[in-house]
Amino acid sequence: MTTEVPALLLDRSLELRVGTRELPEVGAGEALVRVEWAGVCGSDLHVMRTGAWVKEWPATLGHEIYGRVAAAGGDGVPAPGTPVVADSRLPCGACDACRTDPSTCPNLAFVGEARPGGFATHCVLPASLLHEVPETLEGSTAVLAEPLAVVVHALGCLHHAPARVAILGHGPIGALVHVELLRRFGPVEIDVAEPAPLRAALSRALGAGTVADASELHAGAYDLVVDAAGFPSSLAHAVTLCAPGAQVVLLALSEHPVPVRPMELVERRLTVTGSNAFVDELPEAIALLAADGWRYEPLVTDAITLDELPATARRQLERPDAVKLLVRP
Amino acid sequence: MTVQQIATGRVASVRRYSGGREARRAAGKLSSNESPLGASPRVRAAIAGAAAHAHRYAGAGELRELLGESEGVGTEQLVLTSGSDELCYLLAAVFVAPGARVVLSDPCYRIDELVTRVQGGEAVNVALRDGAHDLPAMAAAAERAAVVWLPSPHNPTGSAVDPDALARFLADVPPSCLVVLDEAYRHYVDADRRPGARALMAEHPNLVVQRTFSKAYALAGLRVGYGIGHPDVIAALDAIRPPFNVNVAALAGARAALADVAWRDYAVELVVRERRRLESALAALGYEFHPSQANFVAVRPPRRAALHDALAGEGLVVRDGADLGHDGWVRISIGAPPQMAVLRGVLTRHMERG
Repeated sequence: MTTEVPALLLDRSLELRVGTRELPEVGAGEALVRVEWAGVCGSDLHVMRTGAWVKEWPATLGHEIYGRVAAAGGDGVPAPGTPVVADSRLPCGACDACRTDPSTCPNLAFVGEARPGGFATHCVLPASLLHEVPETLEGSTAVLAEPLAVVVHALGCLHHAPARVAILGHGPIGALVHVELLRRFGPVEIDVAEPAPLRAALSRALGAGTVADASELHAGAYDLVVDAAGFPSSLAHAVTLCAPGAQVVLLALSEHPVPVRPMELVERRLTVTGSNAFVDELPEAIALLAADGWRYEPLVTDAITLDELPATARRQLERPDAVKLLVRP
Repeated sequence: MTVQQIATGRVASVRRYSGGREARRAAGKLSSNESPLGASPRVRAAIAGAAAHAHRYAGAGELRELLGESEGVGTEQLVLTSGSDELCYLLAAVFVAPGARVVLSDPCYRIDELVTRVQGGEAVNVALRDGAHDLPAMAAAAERAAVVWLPSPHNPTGSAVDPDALARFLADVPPSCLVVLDEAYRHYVDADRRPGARALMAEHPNLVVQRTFSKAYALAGLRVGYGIGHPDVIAALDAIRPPFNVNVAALAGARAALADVAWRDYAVELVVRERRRLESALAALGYEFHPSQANFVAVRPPRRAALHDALAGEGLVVRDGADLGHDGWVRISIGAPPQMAVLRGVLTRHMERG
């Protein structure tokens, strides 16, 4: 038996609309999840702009998911009613990497691109992706677990406790980096480059010195630079901002070639670290949100109904301003 | 007559104030006009740090100095109170004699009415016009009155007085009549529509401005408010206020909040964005509502009881207008974006069901 549910549909022509889609039958080891909140990630906007990574059209994006199990396919699946967040990653399960460490799967795909995601009232997911969350945790806070896991993973790569940090870009990931740095290291000095007014306002509210453009930051002054912006020259800017011995952490997905002088990295002993998604940090992220949700909730600047999503997404594509945008399907 | 009879008779005309109902979860409580974002990390740390001084009586001098700098007035023009409601009690104690004529709007802020009745004042209620103060009618009613209570933005309609109209109103009110401009919701008002209180007070010594840390500064639970007025008026209020009426945790929180302007502005911006989003939805759906300049919106929905039930089903609680003298309406406090999205969904389904 198939079920039709309201869902965001992205056509091959990149037209966005709300329609209905058929859900597959819930198989063994799978769960039907009633989605209560889904977060809009920068990569969702990238797919809406380019159509990249989609395996089946029309696509229903959305890989940051909080909901409740509505139906369980067999044993080992959380019982109906259980509040859960979803792991977004779908390793292929067939390659050598998957046999040893699925997080390094070269064919790693994501919910919403490889299979219908959370911008729908319901989705069917492998139970192996689901993590139970405490009933006391607000769903609209719990849904931040996936991007927070990305940030927890990235900050796990730090070589040292930073004293002075520059964050390029204060969208959802840059802002989560900001909050996590404050939580971990206390009164660390943080400067932010962010042109969008609301995102800049949040960075100031969190205590940062905030400028619109990375070129206005202090060259050679920071022992940690986080690139969460990914604009064409952001890596080059990041290197310029580094003090000797500093680390650059790259989180943004940028395809632009960047001229970097290797001698500069060598002579100034700089480390450039790329960090992609997460490995096993989702439970830690859930625990952080359950313990200290108030730290992260100010990032949710916008929440909308499913019907409001196409128009809102188009506005965000033209002129990003929201920090974290949530959808209530 | 027994003391029981005296006590009962003394408050016979008083309508007891009750706060907004609680929701299943705190975030769903849209019934008390609280700040959805809460206090900043720095303010939370300051409040926690005050525990070390809990065994000492509170010294309010530093906060008064900081407020004086922030408001551009001398400390002799400031009185600190335990929430701005305490200022209502102090003002009524000084200015409302038994039988004194007191002007309020209809509906009015319930505490203004309560303290008027406790003091035996004669309440003269002037009906709102389209949800806004009828300033010419209030000025006319102020002849031979002791006090005019003037909340702006008004609670529960959210309407703010026009600064020019306020100036004309003050010119029309006799100088023997105290005007209390309650600006609890000032920070949510469009910047060009906020009265220049300092200039008005310089011209009208019968004006007292009432402010609070409960709304934009997110300290409702700590109870800190203040009044700004002529030094002689403030001295009278200061003379009768309870000693140490603002506690050490509240003072520490207020000092830190006053220094944390970026957090306050961000919190206000989120509320104003959500208020506009709600008003757009209400207009599109065909609801009757008062355009608001505060952190709430008053709406007159069809089938009010059914709406309360539908909201409760989603964990949301709003204030029924009957509690606030505005029968047939509900007052919706602006919550965090997720709760407001859920609210819009309920309002949409409620209207679609006709």
